[in-house]
Amino acid sequence: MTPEQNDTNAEPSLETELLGMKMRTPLIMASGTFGYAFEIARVADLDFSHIGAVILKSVTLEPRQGNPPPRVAETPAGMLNSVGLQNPGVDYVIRHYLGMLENFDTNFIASVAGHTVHEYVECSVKMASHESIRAVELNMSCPNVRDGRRFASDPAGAAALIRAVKERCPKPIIAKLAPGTEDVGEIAGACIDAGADALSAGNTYVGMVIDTRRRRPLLGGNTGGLSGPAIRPLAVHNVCLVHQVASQKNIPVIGCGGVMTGNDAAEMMLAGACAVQVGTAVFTNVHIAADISAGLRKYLVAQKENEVSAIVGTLQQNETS
Amino acid sequence: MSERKRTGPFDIIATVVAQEPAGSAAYRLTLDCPEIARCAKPPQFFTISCHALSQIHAGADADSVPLDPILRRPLGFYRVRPDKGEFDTIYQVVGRGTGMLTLLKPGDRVRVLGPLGKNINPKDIRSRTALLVGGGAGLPPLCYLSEALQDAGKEIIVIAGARYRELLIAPTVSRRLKRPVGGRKDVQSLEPLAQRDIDCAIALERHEEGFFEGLITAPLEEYLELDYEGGVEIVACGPPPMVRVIAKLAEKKSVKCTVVMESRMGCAIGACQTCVIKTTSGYRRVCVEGPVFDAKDIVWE
Repeated sequence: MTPEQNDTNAEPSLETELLGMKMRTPLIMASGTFGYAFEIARVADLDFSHIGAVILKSVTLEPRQGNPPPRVAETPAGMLNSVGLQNPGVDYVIRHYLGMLENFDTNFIASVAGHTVHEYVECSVKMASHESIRAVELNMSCPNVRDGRRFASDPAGAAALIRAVKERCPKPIIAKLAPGTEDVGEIAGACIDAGADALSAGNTYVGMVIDTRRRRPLLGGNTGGLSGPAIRPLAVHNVCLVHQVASQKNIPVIGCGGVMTGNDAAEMMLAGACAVQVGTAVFTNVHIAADISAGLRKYLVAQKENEVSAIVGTLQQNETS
Repeated sequence: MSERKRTGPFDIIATVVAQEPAGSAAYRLTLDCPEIARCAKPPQFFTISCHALSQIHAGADADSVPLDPILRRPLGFYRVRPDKGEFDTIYQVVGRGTGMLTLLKPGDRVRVLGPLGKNINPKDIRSRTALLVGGGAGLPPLCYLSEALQDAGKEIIVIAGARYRELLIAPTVSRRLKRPVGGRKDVQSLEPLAQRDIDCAIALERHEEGFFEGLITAPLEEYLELDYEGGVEIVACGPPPMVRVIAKLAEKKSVKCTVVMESRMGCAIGACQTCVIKTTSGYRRVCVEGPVFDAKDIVWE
């Protein structure tokens, strides 16, 4: 037996490190699909050992009642949501929810949204001050509220926001970029220069479903954010574009969009993501991180890789004329 | 920990035992799933994937994950047999997803999540008599509820509505009512309820012998005219427009009304905030704060 064959017999490691967090897998449960963790943890036998981190549902400085229902519409291989950032406000979340996180054996990242720079800063500082929170993701790309994407569509605005949060926030910050913008590279560069510690690429895509009988949009909020496997090719390309910029400055990219299987996660990582968010897939199976981990290990075995981090950004583009 | 394991909810693979038509637009699906059968209570619900798992399910192979349609369908329980580890659901075919469910055959394995939502305890019904009123996908859960309430010593009357007879989920039989209503002694009743000696009145859109004619409120109004020693209250379950007219009538007659609501759902366990309905205290999630609500707390749109 050659040493090389010997290596492939060992179970490949999915362990990785991101922003100082030790993660047992590169899988991060995406904001908005995993609640504040305790809701999903009610399901019997939920095993956090396949989950590298959880990004909590976005919080805002004040409570938000969210958009009128219906808030979900199914689409081909995906779904639109129009929740509109319903949440009980940062103070309530800290007082009633964050204390429960110590019962769950994984890393937790806060997600913060707001109308103004001030709101983002205050909210980030409050969440980051809690001992269970390891980092803060700035939701600069919510498609379901007025101004939701303002900060992610203007490099100067994005930079100003990040600089302001970075100045006060005691924990690493992740900028969640809007996908599908021509200049995503430019925005990514502006976020990095302003001090973002990592980038999430990206978020849901804006879409609409029309109820033809009533001649009205099906969603109460008219438009919604498209997620699920329908957007995966778009998301993989988006990760490539962001990675081109971030790799030059050694800033980690977190891939996000339509990941359902281990092979999907591998695609994201080859494109340059060092961790991968899993969102809509949770609705099909609460235990899906276990299946994705198993699939990712299988992929690494087939590729004769011992560590998942070895594949990050190793995509070889084809020659084109 | 052991407490949680006993009551769920469980996200688990069930095995199809049987599937057969229940009326002209619905199917009765029997699933083997001891974990859920052991702890389900009426009128809780579960969600089910529209796709059978491939027979060679091997972790995260691409063919083992549902792509389209992606969301699980929320369905009510019809009969639960904890001793056998099985339960039945009756669902209506309303779109592509429920259409795909009709393809499930005995031996297929399918991912389910449940039991979900709040239940109604017999002690929640303070009156001696409960009128269980509903139609469509709401009727099977009411049949399930009727058994639990009857076992607890309540007088149960089921009032069902359907556009036409063929849409009813079970055959009807002629039955002499224990409590005559609207000048009638004999009516057509759903057979499974008659077998349990439960009075049942049915409203159809067109006139047919033995049935009430018109909206479900036609027989309900007649029943609300009767005297009930020990009080009467309503539990309504069905399409939202039907539940709404029932709730409005209950309000007019000052009768307590509990409603079991349905909604489009994402996660079904309280995380995604998509299945909300408007209540007097803001948007509330049907999946965890419901599906059982007091009708007077709902803001009807």
